Amino acid sequence: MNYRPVIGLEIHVELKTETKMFCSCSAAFGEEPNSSCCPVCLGLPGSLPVINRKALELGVKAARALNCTVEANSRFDRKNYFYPDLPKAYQISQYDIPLGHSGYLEVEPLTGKPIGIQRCHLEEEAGKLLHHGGSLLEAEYSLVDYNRAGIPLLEIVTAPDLISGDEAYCFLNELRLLLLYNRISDCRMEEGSLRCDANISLSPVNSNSWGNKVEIKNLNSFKAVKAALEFEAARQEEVLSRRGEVLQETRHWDENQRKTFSLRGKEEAADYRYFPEPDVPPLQLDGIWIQKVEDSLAETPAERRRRYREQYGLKEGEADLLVAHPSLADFFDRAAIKYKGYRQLFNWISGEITRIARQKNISPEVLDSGALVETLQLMDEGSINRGTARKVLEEALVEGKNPAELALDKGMEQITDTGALGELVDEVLRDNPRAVGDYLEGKKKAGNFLLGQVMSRTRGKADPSVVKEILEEQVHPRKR
Amino acid sequence: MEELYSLVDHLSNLSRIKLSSEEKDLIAGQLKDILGAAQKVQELDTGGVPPTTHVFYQWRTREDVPAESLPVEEVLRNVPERESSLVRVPRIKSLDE
Amino acid sequence: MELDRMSALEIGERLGKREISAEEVVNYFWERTQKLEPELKSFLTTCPEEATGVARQVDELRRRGERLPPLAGIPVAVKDNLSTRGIHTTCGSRFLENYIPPYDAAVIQKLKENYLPVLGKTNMDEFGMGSSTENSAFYPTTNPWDFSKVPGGSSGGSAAAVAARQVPLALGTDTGGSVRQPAAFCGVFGLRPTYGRVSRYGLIAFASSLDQVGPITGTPEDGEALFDLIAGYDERDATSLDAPGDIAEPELDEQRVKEIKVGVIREQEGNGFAPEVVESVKEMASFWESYGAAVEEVSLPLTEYALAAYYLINAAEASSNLGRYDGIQYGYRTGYAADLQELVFKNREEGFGQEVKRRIVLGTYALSSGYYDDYCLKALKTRTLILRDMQRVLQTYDFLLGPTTPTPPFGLGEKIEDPLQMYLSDVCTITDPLVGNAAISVPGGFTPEGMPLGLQMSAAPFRESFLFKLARFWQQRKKYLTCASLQCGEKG
Ligand SMILES: [Mg+2]
Ligand SMILES: [Zn+2]
Repeated sequence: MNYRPVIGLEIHVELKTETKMFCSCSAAFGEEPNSSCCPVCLGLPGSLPVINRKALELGVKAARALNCTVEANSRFDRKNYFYPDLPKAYQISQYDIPLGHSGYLEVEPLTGKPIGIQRCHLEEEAGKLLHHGGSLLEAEYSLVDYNRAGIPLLEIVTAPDLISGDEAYCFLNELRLLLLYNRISDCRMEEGSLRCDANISLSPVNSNSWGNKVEIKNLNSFKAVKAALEFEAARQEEVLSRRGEVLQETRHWDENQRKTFSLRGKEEAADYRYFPEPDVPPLQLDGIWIQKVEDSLAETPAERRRRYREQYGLKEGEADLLVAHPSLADFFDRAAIKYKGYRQLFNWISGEITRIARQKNISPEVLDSGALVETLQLMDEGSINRGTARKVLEEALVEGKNPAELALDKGMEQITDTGALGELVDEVLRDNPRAVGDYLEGKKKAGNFLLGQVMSRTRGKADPSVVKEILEEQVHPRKR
Repeated sequence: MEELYSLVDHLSNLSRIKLSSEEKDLIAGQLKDILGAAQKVQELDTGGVPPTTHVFYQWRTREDVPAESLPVEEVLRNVPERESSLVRVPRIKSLDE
Repeated sequence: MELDRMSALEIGERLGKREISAEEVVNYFWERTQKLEPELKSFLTTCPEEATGVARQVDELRRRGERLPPLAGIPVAVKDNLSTRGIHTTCGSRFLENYIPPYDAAVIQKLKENYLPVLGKTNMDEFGMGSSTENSAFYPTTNPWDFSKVPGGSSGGSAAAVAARQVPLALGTDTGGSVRQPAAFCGVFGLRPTYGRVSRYGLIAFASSLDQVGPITGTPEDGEALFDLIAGYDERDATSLDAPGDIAEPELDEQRVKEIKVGVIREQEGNGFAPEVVESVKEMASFWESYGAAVEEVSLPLTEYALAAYYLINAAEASSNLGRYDGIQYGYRTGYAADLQELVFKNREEGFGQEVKRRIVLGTYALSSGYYDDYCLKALKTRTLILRDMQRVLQTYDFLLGPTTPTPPFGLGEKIEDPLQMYLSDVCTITDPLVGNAAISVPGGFTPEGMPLGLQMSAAPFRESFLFKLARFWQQRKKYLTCASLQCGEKG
């Protein structure tokens, strides 16, 4: 290949707040259309914005998580443009002094290659447009729901440091985990709480010059980002190989056809007429407050993987698997405080906990890690066997009951008392002389029958291996 | 003057205001005078002077606590065209923002 | 009882003693409003039923022996750019002709909490853009002292309504002089508060960094009472201030006047300033001098740059603030449009008046790429220089004195064709908004033709109470007529 892709990403994430960026309307997803709106987020004449402190806190948190310099005297600006989902005809955003800038994110799967973060800034979300009768361009008319208008957004712009669709994919996964662990955003692409546009140009190998940049939109999953970038790299290379010119344009990724299509050319560059937002005074962030926010940062996904390997002895794949699922990893951490059999813990979490969570449709986030710990302890003591442990665990988690009590109440606790078992075995032997005879003659079936009799009289509570031992001991003396 | 006309055209596009040709004449003429007067600020030496965007202010933020929104009917009260509880807009010709 | 000869506070006193009922007061002013309205056209919307409702509530509370705020039951008129829940709020624009807001502005809430009946919404230049109320999309308001003259603007309806005593109290808004200039033209008192002292929540924005709501009244005491009522921190306006200076200044006596230093602005005379205006400033200067105040001439050399900076900043902010008027959620709708693009273009073409379009175009220019640095940014830097200059001057002087307007009230139609001439009429009032000062316009006598002249006193931020005390000291001794009712009666 004579060309090397130069890729940058522009990511928008909705921040995990209760209310919108500049008003107190609920930021919850999926409400009845236009039911979470007020004069401010509708942009009604005379309404004024007031900054949500939590959004600011999450913005600073994200900035620091991305190793950005936090600008204490950052400010908000107006980005003016007309679009029916933008009620004020301007978006309150940040322009020349973003909240965070000059950062990087180390992506462990890319052997720790740091990807530059040019800037991250706060802004407000636009409303949602629903196109009636197909896509935007074919629709006969459109409908606007302003519930989403004003939800706080964080825009993250990377440096053009990525060189393949695969790298972009890994970067996005790592970024998503970072934001999830810090509870900055839900990062749900399907609900639109994380969106990504990608810029790609080809640069001749051994050269610092870049070709024309193409922006790709409509990327609805990380896989789509990867596929679209791979398609686009190939397309551009093909164009260049026949000495054509790659146009600077915006292209649309079509998920069904797995191709990009030209959406619009460069035309006249948009003129957003940015200027400082007069309704919102410049920020004056307190250094101590910024430090406090920074101190609340969770460990990075990379640090977590390392901890799982080094401190808990998990294998690389196991650590990766846990960290890739924050709710499981958090569950693991909660359980690992009280239970030291880390491998056992990992196996049960990746097995039973995952199964129960999926089958019962409960997030592991709300599952009680104590129930797993107690169940495993009961099993380790030999009070219950593995099969019973599974049942106990499921019931304990789903019904919120105490595992030890469950084991007792339901009579599921294993009888390990050999004295009591001995008496039962005696009883069974006395009641079934023919079977004993057959057993002595070496008939296996008779042995299983006697074992079954003992088990049924304990209603399954006995440990079969213990019963077998006692049976042997008591029958053989007679043989002699 | 021709330059001024194409400027007025450009500005009319940017600001989404259709202007009749008489209005364009009028505004182009007045704009010339007004811009001439506005040129006044160019005379001042503002080297090293920071801009004043807010004369004075107290830095403040809001708690992230939800408050009641408007009833949907109030939201839609002034909407000229609607479909159930959504605001209807005609066909969007192009995606320019 | 001739209620139009009384101040609001005097009426309030009688209401307190139950010599008269609030309903009678509202009726009185409502009748008077109706009688004068055909000539004046101060109002765009009247709401006598709502006002009567509030009056009855006041009477009922008084019957039960409850103590009410001093202005409870006094009718007030509010400029039509203040959002009123359930009542038309047009901003003087065709675009908002049918707009009915779902919420009350902060100042309207305060009026309601204090039981002031709102009698109606007053006429104004469209979106506040103008100095004569001739830019109202509906009709011009006339000056109560002479119907052939303008009342000033953009709060012309509020000032005319008070000067004619259609109401004793009114609220206007001031971006570059829109309270003070019409107050001067109508011979009444008008205060522009310190930026941030009155909540802008629900004040429909013209230029956000300059807009303030202010009282227009027939006496300084009424002005201070109304100001105290509307001022104060509001958490819904991030530019609102928690004022440390919320304490009223002590009454100004002849002893204290001697300690005052007055700066008479040198730049506000000469070219473009009418001789009778210059004369009235001199009269006030010697007035303070005669009471022992130190009066000196002071220079604000950046005054001419201030006007250019002011118009650039206000046009830039306005072009952005008025972008929301696209006719999708509310407001003017054209007839047929093939698509959204055309719909928005036509709505704005047909819904906005000439002056509004002009300012949007100018503001768009000042903000557009390639011009921002030379125009907008330069204007904001100029603002810094003006601010520094003002801070320097106010270290020496307690207040600055000058005319409110360079000329007496001009004739209807006289300047409407020439925007630049119209802009020049704001030259005395635009500096204080740029630097956030408080400023008051007080009656300063009459021209030989009997038209009122206004004088302006400006002081450092938070000194509204001091300005009212100065105004009171002046008016107590000058006793200028602030009610044009007789002229109205004769001509009407
Ligand atoms: Mg953005
Ligand atoms: Zn809202």
